Amino acid sequence: MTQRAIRWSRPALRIALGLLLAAAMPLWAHGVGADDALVVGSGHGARPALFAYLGAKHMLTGLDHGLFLLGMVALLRRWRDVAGYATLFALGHSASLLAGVLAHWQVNEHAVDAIIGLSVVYKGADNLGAFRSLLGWRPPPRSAVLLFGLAHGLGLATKLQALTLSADGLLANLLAFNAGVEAGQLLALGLIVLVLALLRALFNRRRAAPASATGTSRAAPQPAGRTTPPATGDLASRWLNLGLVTAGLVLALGQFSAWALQR
Amino acid sequence: MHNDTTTSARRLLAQLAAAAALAALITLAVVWPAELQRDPTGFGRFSGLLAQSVPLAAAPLYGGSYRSQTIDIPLRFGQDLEFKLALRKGATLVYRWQVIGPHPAPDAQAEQLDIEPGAPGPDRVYVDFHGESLPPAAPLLQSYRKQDAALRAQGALVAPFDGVHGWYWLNDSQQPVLLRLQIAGFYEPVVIAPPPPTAAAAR
Repeated sequence: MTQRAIRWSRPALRIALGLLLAAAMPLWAHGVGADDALVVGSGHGARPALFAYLGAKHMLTGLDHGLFLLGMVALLRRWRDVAGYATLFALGHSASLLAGVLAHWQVNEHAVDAIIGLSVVYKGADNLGAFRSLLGWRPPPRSAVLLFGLAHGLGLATKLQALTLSADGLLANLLAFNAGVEAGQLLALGLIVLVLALLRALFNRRRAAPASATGTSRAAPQPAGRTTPPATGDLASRWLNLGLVTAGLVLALGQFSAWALQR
Repeated sequence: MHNDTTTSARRLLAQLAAAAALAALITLAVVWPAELQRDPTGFGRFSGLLAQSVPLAAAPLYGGSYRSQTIDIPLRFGQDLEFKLALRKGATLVYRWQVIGPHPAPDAQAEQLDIEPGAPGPDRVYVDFHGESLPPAAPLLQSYRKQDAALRAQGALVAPFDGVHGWYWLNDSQQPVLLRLQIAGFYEPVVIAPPPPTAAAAR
């Protein structure tokens, strides 16, 4: 059971994908950051539903977290590995979220967001095997995910503290926010794994076609430390991870320049 | 074999460098004009990103009617009053209110309040400047500014949501007071409840 590979029958894949997209759409359609601060500021006491919603929304609408999750599972082929990495990431960001809010850590928002951007760069480069082939040393991936999980949690703590939080019911609201973050992460992960599985299925079919003029069979260097050989979609995987490196750098550079220019 | 890995490592390095260059280009061409009002490449001006990110937010246009009013509000000792205006989300209200009278004002305060020395002077009030949504919208209550022993305030409000926005004044001083409120903006007056005329005559 735990060793089961991620495989979906095609109709099931389509139905599930449609349902997930439909469920996630309203969350994306509402771009109401400023209003959230208002809603939070307009009351006090324990409001678990509101804070759980805000946590889930932050996870689903925040591009940086989503990109990191995408990089984290891009090369994983087994549910067990997805669950393992997701747990490590959740442990990391829960720890620093709780500690950061309860201890009132005031961290520069741009600095934290820049580090979160760099975590996306790291994951993309790691998936490309860049650390081993260029530096001769690969950071242990599980520790790195835990460490960057801490950075993401610090970002969450900064965002949450930017809302005016009343001390009344703080712990309950914080725990609810954290639960919402985990729920949002699960939803995002489900969506990402589904889309990846769909893409793999697509590339599999293309590869099965006799005249391989698609170029997908070009051999890419094997990402270091991977136990299973690359089955399909090497080129797609390379583009995906180069895209992650680029997007992560844009996030990090934007934050660095905002930091530097607004001082 | 060795040759192969060197070639692929070199190719990977080139691809990463290209990714970094692309990221730098996107940052300068798109992120800077849209987020930081800087446009080193000119792409912000060309695409309209720069124009969208600055003036539209700074110089909004409003429908509805422009209004301005000056209202004098007497408050007996212990009396309170709620004065509200209906504003659409994003509409701007400019205001100034001050306590005038009825007691003889010390010279320093008279100067601060821009009134004749010896004219009826100020006493202080508690004020809560706030807004709330109206049914059927979800109930929202937001306090913008609360102050004890206030004499005056002036400023602007950009309504954060559809609803009624305004002031709650409580005269917790030992004397009757007279407030003068000046407002201008894009609002609909909703609640004007001046106290009975006996309040002003009570002195």
